Amino acid sequence: MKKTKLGEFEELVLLTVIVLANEAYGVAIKKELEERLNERLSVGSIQSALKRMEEKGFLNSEFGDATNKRGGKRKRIYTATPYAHQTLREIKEIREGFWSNIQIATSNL
Amino acid sequence: MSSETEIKPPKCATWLVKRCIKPEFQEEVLGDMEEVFADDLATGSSSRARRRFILETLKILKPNLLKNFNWILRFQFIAMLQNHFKVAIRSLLRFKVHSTINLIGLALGLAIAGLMFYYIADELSFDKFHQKGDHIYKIVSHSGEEGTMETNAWPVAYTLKTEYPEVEAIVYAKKASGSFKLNHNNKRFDHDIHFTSEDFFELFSFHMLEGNPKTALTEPYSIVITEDIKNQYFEGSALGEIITLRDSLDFQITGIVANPPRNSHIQFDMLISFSTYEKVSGWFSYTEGWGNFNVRNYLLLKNGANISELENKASSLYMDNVGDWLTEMGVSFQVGFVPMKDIYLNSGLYNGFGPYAPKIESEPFPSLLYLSYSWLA
Repeated sequence: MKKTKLGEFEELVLLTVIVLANEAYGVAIKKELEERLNERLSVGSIQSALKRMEEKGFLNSEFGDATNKRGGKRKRIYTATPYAHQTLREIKEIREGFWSNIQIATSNL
Repeated sequence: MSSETEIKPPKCATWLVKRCIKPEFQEEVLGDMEEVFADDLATGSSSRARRRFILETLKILKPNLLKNFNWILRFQFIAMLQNHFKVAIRSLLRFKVHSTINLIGLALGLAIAGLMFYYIADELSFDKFHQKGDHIYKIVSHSGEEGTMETNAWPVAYTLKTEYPEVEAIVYAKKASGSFKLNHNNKRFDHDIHFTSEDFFELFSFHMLEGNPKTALTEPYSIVITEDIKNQYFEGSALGEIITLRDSLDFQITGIVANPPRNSHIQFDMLISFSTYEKVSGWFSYTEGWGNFNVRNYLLLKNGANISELENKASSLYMDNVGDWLTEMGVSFQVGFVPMKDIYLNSGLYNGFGPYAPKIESEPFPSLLYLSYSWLA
């Protein structure tokens, strides 16, 4: 856990990539995340997070097809690496460990 | 659909993206942006889509998406600076002992210069908070070669007040003797207590929190205490309460004053009305006792009056009144006035009312210059 350095926003983007399976490219991730978070996101923030995570080894990517809508430019499809899956699982376990110790807080909500 | 595809995103925005974003990201990033633009066109007006595209362009400029800005090194002076830093770091690493000694010396020098600055600034800040400070003078007694006393004979200030129209107000002050201990819970407590006459708060801008500054020190057995003392001995308001000093003397609290600022040459825990001193001292007179140099006096000069004119007229006060007697004793005294701003730092006078800057013996230097000079040497 110590060395993963997966930011909060990065974690959300990573989860979106996994949810979208083979359809995970910039605009699709943006739309999915905008819907789930209920706020507008910029292309820049998504792209920046994607590139950072690719650098850290959480993501692989390859060019996909080009569409007319994109001015004939190719998409880049992202997939999560096994390392990403493992890290996400660790984060989830740590959080669940916390939540199992704060039952009172949740029941009071 | 055909009409929509003809509308293109703003050229300047795409130019900026091509100029600044790493080439390997450009196709993907621009594609994403154009797709968003196309979606915006389909759902709203073209001006809104263009506006959003420009916003997206500004937001795309994230550090990790930008090109390397090595071209900036084309400006010679930046390249030169970079080179200098490199050389500096390399020589620091090469001569480790030497550079450590140098750096420690530099750091110490900077630190000491900073401390000196703060020390001097602090010394200079003394007594600046009195609103009437420009018109306040401490009355002193010069005695030729014998030096100068910070206290005066009993009648001096009174005579100045009654016979010289330039004088607006005067203050008598005297430190209470060690026997004035505060009685509390059958114990005795030592505090810094001074007798001060009624115009004390007229001259000095100590902030009165409770009580009337004009009358607090008028009646005998009135006492004004600082906030600290109040908090130490009382809960809630202390105004009107009784304080016992010297086992038998009861004083009524007529005022609570904010603690004197640390950079004041006048420091106290409690102030007792000077009219109390007149009663408890056994014998005190405003017109006699020219040989009793044990009261501390301050003077408030009237607006527009000239202190050196007053000094010319009043310096001979001792000789005019008791000259024969003093001559017989082989001594002489002249009345002098020290401006408020000089009392702490420049007078070289002892101060029985609080702190004072040590006297600096070297005349040719202004004292402050000499101070920094001696520190540096």
